[in-house]
Amino acid sequence: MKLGIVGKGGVGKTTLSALFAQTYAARGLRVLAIDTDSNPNLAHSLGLTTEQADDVPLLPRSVVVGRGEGSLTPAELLSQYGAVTPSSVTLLHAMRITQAGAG
Amino acid sequence: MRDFIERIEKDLPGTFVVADMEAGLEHLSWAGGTLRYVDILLVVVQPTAKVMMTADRTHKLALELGIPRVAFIGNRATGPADVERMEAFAAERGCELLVAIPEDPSVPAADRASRCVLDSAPDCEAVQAIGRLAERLEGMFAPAG
Repeated sequence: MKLGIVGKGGVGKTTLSALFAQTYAARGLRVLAIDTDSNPNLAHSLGLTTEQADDVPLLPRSVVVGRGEGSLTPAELLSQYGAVTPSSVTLLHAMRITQAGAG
Repeated sequence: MRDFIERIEKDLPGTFVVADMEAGLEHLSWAGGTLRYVDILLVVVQPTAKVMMTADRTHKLALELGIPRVAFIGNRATGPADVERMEAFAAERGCELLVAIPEDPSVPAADRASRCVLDSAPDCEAVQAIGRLAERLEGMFAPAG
């Protein structure tokens, strides 16, 4: 099942996404959570520390905006770019703004 | 991203993918619609004017993109009037309000303590509501065979 969660800023998307992902993981499902926010904080809601969150690698640009990454399969992308969180949910970061004042 | 999300299902069947999207509507319109390949788009609403206006725009854009299913999730409901307002909002758009999550102090309390709600208050009302939503969605998308 592929689920997208959207809504106005501050409405609770990230907290809900995390709870939802953890709920399914607790039921034994393999869960992949993708944070596409340029100021990602799903990692925190999934129980990672700030340091651990900052260490989650960004998905390659070609995967985020391109038509597929070609050489890497999704399984390979997950093992290279995914962070396994305490509830076993795998987290991917699609983007992050690093420049001051950008966002 | 859309190719990636699509390929996950082929290569890793049974994986449950939750995409937490940026607040704007860009991800719907941009790159041909990142979210076009989700099975269901869940639009989080609160019973407030600005949130519902944004949700209305999101819903229209999702329809234009041909996203197969759109449903609403109500958040921070403070009572039956809030629930009714959000249910009516969804119904006016031919959609369902899958769940109304109550305003629950356990959620901000967990955030302040830098903890997961599921760990700090596993039986709180918000967590219970999410559990009901999870069951509803499982019923809607039960794996065939």
